[in-house]
Amino acid sequence: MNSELIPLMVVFPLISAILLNLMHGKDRAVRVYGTLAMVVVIAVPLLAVYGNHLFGAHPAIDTPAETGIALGRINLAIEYSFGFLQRALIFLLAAIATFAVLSHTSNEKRASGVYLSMVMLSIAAVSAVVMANDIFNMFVFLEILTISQAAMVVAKGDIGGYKAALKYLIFGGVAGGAILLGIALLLGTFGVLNITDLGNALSGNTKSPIVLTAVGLLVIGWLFESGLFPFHTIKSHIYSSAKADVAALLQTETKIVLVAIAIILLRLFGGLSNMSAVMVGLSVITLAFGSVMALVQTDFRRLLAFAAVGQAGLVGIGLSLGTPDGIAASIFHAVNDALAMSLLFVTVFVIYEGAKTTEFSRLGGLLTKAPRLAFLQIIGIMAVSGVPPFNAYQSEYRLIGAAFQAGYPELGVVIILGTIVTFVALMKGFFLTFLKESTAVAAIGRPQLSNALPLVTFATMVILALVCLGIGLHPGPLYDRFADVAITLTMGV
Amino acid sequence: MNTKDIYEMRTVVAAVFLGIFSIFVLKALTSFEIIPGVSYVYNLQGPSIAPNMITVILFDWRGYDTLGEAFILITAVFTTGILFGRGVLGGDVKVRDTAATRQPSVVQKVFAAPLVFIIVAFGIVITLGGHITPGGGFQGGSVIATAFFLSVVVFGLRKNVFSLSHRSLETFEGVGALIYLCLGLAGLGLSGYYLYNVGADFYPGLGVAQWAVNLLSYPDATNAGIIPYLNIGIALKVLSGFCTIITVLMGAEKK
Repeated sequence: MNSELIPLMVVFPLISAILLNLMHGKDRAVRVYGTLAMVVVIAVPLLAVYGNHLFGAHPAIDTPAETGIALGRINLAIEYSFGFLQRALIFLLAAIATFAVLSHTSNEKRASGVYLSMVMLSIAAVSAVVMANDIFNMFVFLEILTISQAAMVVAKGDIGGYKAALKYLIFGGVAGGAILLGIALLLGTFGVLNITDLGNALSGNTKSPIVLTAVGLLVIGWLFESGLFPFHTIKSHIYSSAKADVAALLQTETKIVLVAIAIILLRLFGGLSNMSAVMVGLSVITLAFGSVMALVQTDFRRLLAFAAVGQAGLVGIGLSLGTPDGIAASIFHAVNDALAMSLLFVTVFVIYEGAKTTEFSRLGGLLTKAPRLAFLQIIGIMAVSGVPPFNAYQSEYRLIGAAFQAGYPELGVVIILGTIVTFVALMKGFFLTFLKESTAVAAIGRPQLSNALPLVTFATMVILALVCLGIGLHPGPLYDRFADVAITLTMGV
Repeated sequence: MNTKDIYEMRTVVAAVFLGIFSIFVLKALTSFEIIPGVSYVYNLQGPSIAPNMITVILFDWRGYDTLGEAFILITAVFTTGILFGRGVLGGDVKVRDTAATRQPSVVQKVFAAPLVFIIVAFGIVITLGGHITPGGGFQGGSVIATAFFLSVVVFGLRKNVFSLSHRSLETFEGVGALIYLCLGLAGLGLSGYYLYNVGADFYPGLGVAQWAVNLLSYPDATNAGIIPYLNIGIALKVLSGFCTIITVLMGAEKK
């Protein structure tokens, strides 16, 4: 079934990006258009009908023998597929992006059209990666994503942001090249770019050196885009150098892209046990490094950035297992963690806005000044670390179950340990910020932090907290649909 | 062991791993057998659209990828602007353009001015003939941009042959991208498929109205449909993108 709204999820943000850039300097126009555009961005994924969209209307044809392709029929057009998973992920992205846009238009004295156009470009890029059923199209939009993410960090305008963005772009260039070379090898050998076709052509043919090289190169790209080991440092650097709303958006985008590319890898090379083992190993290392690095940080933003990277490792573990339970639990955890982490990022940056610092040595005893913020932050911490009744508890519990079922009880233990370390690290941050009365802080005077929060920020935090609680109490509706998606995915493998 | 030693060791380890990886890739490439694949079908059907196969593949079958490629360039141009202070949060940072005017020598003046016009004409030919002869929007746009570079290098930013402001360059770029996006939307509205080549109307069963086919069909002997218009959009966008970057870099030169 052909749904005409599917391409609009990418094309509308692209058009908005161009218009917002043209409007830059006209403050009122930027604010009004930016806000209205987000309404459309949220509405389209909800209204679109499930199905596929063929760009340029080129239909599938019977394969001529001269092509050398070992398939009966091939797709000629670039194809997008849109189902429940895509709708859920794009809606999540749109919701977090709406917060970023509203927070910008309401809190900044002068709205920046260029910055909002970068937000739009990144929305378009992530939506395209999520829906793309064409491996080259995925690569094109990953490039847009990398550059626009770097630009959002640079837009903060300080030297730390420049440094982080430059490093990110250099690594992004390497990873982009790796993905492109991998795609070229696959195209040369099998002659198609459509992921469904490529998966069919690959089945039972995954042991040749060319395919193994392509797998290696594509996995490198996946590791970079998802911020997994060995790219965890640069990803956390990017998070901690950005503004609150941007950091929340960046980590949501990263988790969505992690899920999207991992699913593409599973669809292409699902039968390859070596790839699965490597992916599980790197995810576990990411979880360990992220959580432990979070524990030793002396700055709340950096702590949170490393915790976010560690949680990405957790998402990676379940997807790499490749079992229906693992995939479903991982997708569920990606959504839960994106929500809870966004809440935490916002609370920490409210502290930064007020106190102008997030270094623990200069914070302390803020509980009496901002009790509402402290309450929301403790909810965020509990949600991220899998404390019942919040959402991540439901997904982590299912992840551990999936690890046991797949025959790796050790992984279950690792997940529990990682979660505990994350919880300790986050509680350390909470304690040093809100509870501890340090003499150093008493000497320089307590940072100014008002209990009165900007309306948009406060509303966002409350909504995120309520959503985390709601999913935690009623995981069924969401999880069951993800389980269906996972079963459909693994059927072909 | 101090920090410097650790860094040196890290470089050595990285180099060793890169070497091993390269050998593995080269070894794999020795068994790389390329099949014609889907491009055989493209080449089989392409001549019924326009003679230049590269343009036909880029703008028809893979037209949506080309849109993405164009947006990589747009994103990079916007990012360059942000790097130099345009759109930074908390208000734009103004860059003084002390390199605005230059005094060219007589030789430069005599040769540069006519050469600029010749290059622009050449670029336009490459763009408009992109579907027939080698060339296209990307190539034509880049060629015209070199004329701008030459003019800026010889005459300075303010009083050069083009005298395009930053603002008008942005407008050009926006218009170029919007031409591409809106031609895609026309396909979506008329046939239900984004970037459907309405002018060529390759699949008459989709029920595209005849007036739309006539409107978007490029008037020449080929059946290229919207491809030349897409080329014009891309040329505008590439040209103004490159010009924006050179304007920003020249302006920041003597800060």
